[in-house]
Amino acid sequence: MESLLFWFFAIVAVAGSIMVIAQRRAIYSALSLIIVLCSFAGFFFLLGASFVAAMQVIVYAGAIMILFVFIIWLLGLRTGEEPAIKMKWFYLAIVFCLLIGAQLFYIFVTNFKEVVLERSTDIKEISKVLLGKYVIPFELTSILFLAALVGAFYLAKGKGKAEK
Amino acid sequence: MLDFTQLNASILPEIILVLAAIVILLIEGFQKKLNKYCSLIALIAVVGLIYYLISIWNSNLKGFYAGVVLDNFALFASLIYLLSAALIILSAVHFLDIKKIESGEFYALLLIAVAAMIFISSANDMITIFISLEIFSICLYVLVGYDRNSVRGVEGAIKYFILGAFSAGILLYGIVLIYGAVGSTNLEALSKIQGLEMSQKILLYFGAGLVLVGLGFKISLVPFHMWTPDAYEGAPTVITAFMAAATKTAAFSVLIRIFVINLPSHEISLEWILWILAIVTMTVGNFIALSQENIKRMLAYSSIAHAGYITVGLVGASGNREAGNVMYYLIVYAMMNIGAFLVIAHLERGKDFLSALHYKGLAYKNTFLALALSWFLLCLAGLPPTSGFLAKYYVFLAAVEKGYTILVIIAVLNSALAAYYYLRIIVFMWMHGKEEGKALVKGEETWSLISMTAIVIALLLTLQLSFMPSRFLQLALSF
Repeated sequence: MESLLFWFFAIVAVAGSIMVIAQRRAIYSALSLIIVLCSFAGFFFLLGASFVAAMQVIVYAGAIMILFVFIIWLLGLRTGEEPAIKMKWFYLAIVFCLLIGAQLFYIFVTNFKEVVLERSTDIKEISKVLLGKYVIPFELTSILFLAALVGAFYLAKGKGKAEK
Repeated sequence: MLDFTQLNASILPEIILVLAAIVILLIEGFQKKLNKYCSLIALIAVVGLIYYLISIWNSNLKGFYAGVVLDNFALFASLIYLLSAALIILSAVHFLDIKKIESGEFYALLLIAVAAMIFISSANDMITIFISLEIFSICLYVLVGYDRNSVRGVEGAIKYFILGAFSAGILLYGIVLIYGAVGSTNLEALSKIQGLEMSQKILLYFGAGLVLVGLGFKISLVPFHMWTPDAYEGAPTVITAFMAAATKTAAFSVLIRIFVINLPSHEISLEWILWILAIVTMTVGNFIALSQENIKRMLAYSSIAHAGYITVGLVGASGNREAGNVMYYLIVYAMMNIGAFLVIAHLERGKDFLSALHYKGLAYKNTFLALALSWFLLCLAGLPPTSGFLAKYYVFLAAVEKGYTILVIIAVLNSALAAYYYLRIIVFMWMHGKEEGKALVKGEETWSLISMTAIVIALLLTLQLSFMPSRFLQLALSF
């Protein structure tokens, strides 16, 4: 059952990823990305990390993709004239895909060092780790957001006249 | 549980900087009248911290489950960021005024970037390193495009942003692979590993290589340098100075902490990759710099070449002592490069004064600035009495002692080649007629005491690094 679900999610994720880059319309790409992110949530669920799975759906598939879709609609990017994949770089891309694929294959067939998060299913345990051992990175992300907010606000506010 | 005394001390500098940034943002938001004090607040925070950091030298503060280590190495790197930031703030007051750019967010973003850089140097955990890197990168993306009226600035910012985001992904992938091989993101755990199996070693190699690529983007090593000239040219000149000095130091300090200090050399050795990168970086940087007319672009390629020299230092480094040499090179490089950029920023009136030809006859127009710029360029060229020579000497000597003679020969040949484009500017300034200078140095002479002070301080610091380097060398060799 578990491996059946794994293969289901895997095929959906790969197919969705191909859809993301192969679509001509930006909105279809965005919708395909939602499928990919949801199938990732499925992977996390299968690994027993139900909290991460829920976060994946709520934050990525929910909030962030909604923003994507809104921005695409607001900008009015309805039709893309050019094909999404440029043939010029296609072969180079395949070479790199094969390289990374071979590397990942090797990693998975040989023994991967076991780093199982034993207690990761429990939200209480996650919060203990986040506010204990990883409190610095956790708090730093808030500074990251502050910097990003201030920067985005500055760049977007007011209209500077562009010189020629 | 958490030990609060250590908790406060080990991240106190960052807390102060972020608080100052928030105060500046609040002033910008609610008290527009007090706007002109923003730079003062930023300056006080930065200068105060310089004194504070020197006072806690040798105290080796640790906190947060050894996730933050404020040792002498981190303190020295922080000193470089803070000195750079202080000079940039001094110069920016005048620069932003002349260019009619709003100032509030500028200082806030600068302070946040400095705080993140201090974090990255004192971080002992790869997750912290990654997030800090992202914080100062985001600040810099915005600062590069800070002059929204400049098309080139926005172009540079977008290029920097897209390539930077891509490199962040590569860096993160590398960290994940190292985590997969070692089972921990903590650098101390990384240094203690031994007896890895073959498959884990391959993982570690891939991971370390990708981390090198991700950081290579930030220090503009050659295959990953494409964004550098455009971003450096488009950015406000004071920010270019900050990027060249502080960002490079931050990324190099991480490289040293991961590759020289913590990655066990008996398990994995990346020296040959660094060897190739060093040669390619200096050669490409110098050869392209030869043909640059725009002085900011020329200094951008010169900074690529210098990244190559510093990488020679990394190849030669096998312990804390050599790491000290590299850090000494970084402080020397930061000061002389900032000095040169500050003079350019001071002279800059619009985009018309950036060609090398404009510097013809500058000596007769403004002798002091010409003297200062000549000195900084001589330092960058690394001619004997200057600090640039001293720094190169230590770094190259360490590499020779480790047996990398061919690498050092190529590096020395490169420095000789580089002297041409630095000296060319000096010749333009001193050996061309008075009339030419008057014809080209146009625009009303605006003289700013604050901006001049920054140049004088940079000059004094490089003079001290040249003729009385013992104090800085002592600090650099104390870890």
